[in-house]
Amino acid sequence: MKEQSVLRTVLCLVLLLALMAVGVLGVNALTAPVIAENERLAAEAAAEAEKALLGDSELLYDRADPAASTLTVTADTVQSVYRDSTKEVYLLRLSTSEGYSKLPIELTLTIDFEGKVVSMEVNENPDDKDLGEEFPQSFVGQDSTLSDVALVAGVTFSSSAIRNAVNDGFNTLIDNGLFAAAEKDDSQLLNELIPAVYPGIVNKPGVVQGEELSGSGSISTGYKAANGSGFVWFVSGEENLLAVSTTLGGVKLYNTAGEDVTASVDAGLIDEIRALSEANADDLSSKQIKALGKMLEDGAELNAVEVPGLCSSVTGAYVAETSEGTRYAFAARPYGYSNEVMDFYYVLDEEGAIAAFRVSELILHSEYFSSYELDDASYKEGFLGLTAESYNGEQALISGATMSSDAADTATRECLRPLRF
Amino acid sequence: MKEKLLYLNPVTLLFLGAAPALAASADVRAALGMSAAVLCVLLCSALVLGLARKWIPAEAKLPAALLVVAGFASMAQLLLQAFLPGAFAMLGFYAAVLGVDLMIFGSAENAMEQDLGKGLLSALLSGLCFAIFVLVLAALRELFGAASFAGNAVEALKDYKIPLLTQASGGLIVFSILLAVVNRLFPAQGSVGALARAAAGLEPEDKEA
Amino acid sequence: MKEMILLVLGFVLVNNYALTAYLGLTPLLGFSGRGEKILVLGLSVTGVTLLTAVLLWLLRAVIPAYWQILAAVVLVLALVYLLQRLLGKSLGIWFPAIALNSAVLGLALNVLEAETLATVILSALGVGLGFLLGLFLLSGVQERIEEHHLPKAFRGFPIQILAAAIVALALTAFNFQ
Repeated sequence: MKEQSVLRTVLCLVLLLALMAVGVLGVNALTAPVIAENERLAAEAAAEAEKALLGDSELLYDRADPAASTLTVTADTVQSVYRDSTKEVYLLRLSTSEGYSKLPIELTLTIDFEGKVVSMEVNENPDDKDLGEEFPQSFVGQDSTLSDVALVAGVTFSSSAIRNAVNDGFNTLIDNGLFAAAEKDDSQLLNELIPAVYPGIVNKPGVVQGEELSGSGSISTGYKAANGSGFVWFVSGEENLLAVSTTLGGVKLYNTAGEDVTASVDAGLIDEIRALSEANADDLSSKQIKALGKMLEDGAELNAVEVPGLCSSVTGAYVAETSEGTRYAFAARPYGYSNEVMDFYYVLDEEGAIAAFRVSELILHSEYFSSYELDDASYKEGFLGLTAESYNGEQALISGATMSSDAADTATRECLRPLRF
Repeated sequence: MKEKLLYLNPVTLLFLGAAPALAASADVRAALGMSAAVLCVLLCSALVLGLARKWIPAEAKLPAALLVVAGFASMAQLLLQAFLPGAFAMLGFYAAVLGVDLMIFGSAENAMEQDLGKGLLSALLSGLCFAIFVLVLAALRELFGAASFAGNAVEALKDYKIPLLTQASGGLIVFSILLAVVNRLFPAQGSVGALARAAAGLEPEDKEA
Repeated sequence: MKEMILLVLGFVLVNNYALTAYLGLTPLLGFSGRGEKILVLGLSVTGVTLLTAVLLWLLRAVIPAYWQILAAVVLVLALVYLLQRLLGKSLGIWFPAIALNSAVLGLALNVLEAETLATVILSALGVGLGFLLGLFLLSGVQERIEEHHLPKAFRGFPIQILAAAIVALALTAFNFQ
């Protein structure tokens, strides 16, 4: 009897399965053509939209066919440029791979004949983060200065890549004489100087990392670098100036044209800046001396030195006389993954070769889940004996962990450099 | 039977069907699509199993229910893809998962124990209960999580939106609060374990297996 | 090797099926066993997930897309039946936890597009172990819930979900950029 009931069970189930399978097959027969039609319509709609957008625009430049172009294009991000005489706009297709994922972000930008943005659309965004609706909207109506376009907090890599691409678009049109560049105001000019004159306060895409502070007197506002390497201050007056004040390098001032005007400035102003910076500075020296002291052979005493003109991520420079000879020790704090500050320590011998290398946390916990490859011990050993000449960037590379690699690269280059002063 | 009553309580119903409910509650359009799919699968399974129950031997009951529900879930997924592509884009995958949904399974089990009419009615009620709950949940999550309703932005709430609500943990939080409210109105007795047993159509036991 | 571990860890922590995608959530919450029962259930689910995913993946060329769900369910039933024969007794309460587990079906369907068998195996392991982790975490939380301190409305089912919500929130720490 048991055998019969097992058979019956199986039979019943098989029948039900067959019934269901047929049902699904039937529904599939019904829906498959509908789905195919949906897809066909979607593809057609996309093609129509493309035609409507371009209309009978004149193709001015196409990266795929440079010979047919009438424009000279130097920027890599510009893919194609059209001129629409009816709507009186230039339409540009841009593609940038400088975003977070390093995959291409596709943009469509339209600028009118006077040089103002009509629309900026993100067509493809492989970076996982949401840019929000305000960011693309903020481009509308902007001229070539892009002065009102602010980067999106938490998505700085993606938004700065997009901003740079739009900037490239503008420059392309301006360089080809299609319209004139708009003038930037002083505040914007000074802000744009920062990555060039003080690399230690910006991350790789050039975004300032730090908190905003208010100044006093003629010093209106400033930024305190998140890694403790120094400050930038904005001085307003007859001439608006940018002051860079670093822990090791002293004070330097620049005007809106980017010229170093430190020598021609009133000494009182320099003192004011120095005082303001000291009042707001954190003291990293005890921590750095402790860490570097451990790396010296016989725990010799470290004496701080000033390195004039140093405005990088290096936050501490010291000299020590050990039994092995003179040692130069540096602490650098570049920005790594997610813009978090990393601690690197280098001890260099008299010839400028790295005698000891230490880093607080090479792969920050947050980058742990990307697929990086790192043999901790041999990586660190690879730094020993390197000099400014023999270091070529490869020694700092961690495959799969670009931001940490970049940070290590920055720190190494900047610590090998001071001895060449 | 006490266990059956236990099963038909709205709180327990939704607890069992938590997965599709949560997945569809990020957006009101998705909620509508999912509710429609769930209702169809519930009714169709109840119908087929209610009609066939006399011919299904006892040992085959559980697998039979599973096969039938899975079959209708497949059909629902295909229909969604064809006729509600918007909803499909948001939750197409979860329509497939309806195939093993405990709530639907429980209703299917139920349909095999009772007459056709009662089975269908209970399926209908479960479906409606699910739909109402999920729509409310979706409305809350979308309004306060993304400041929009069915995809249309709601300007007034824009500055107050809490993005956490659109994520998994936020959804669970709102779900639990909503469930607590429903619990107050229709208190569900019994333990979580007993419920699971009832839903699976198993005999109640005094001790854990 | 590192990539393999990261793939598994990805499913256990970052993309834990139950806590981030709601798959397998109800069996997770509904299971009130303790101690070694958790281990046994977790491993059973892992095993069934693994076998179902692998078998379905191997047959993917033969089974048309619209029959995939049915095929997966048939495979799960067959495996559960075999399990019952192995154990010699009815699975009872464990049946819904394994057979009606959305994570099992979910993974089997998700992984059909994978290119290598290794990816399928590792993903299945990850999902199964993630389920096990979920069981551990939630049972730990459940032990500490003293119901008489809770408002009446929350007792029983709602507090279980709230507990899961908080555990899910904790896991989001692994997923920021």
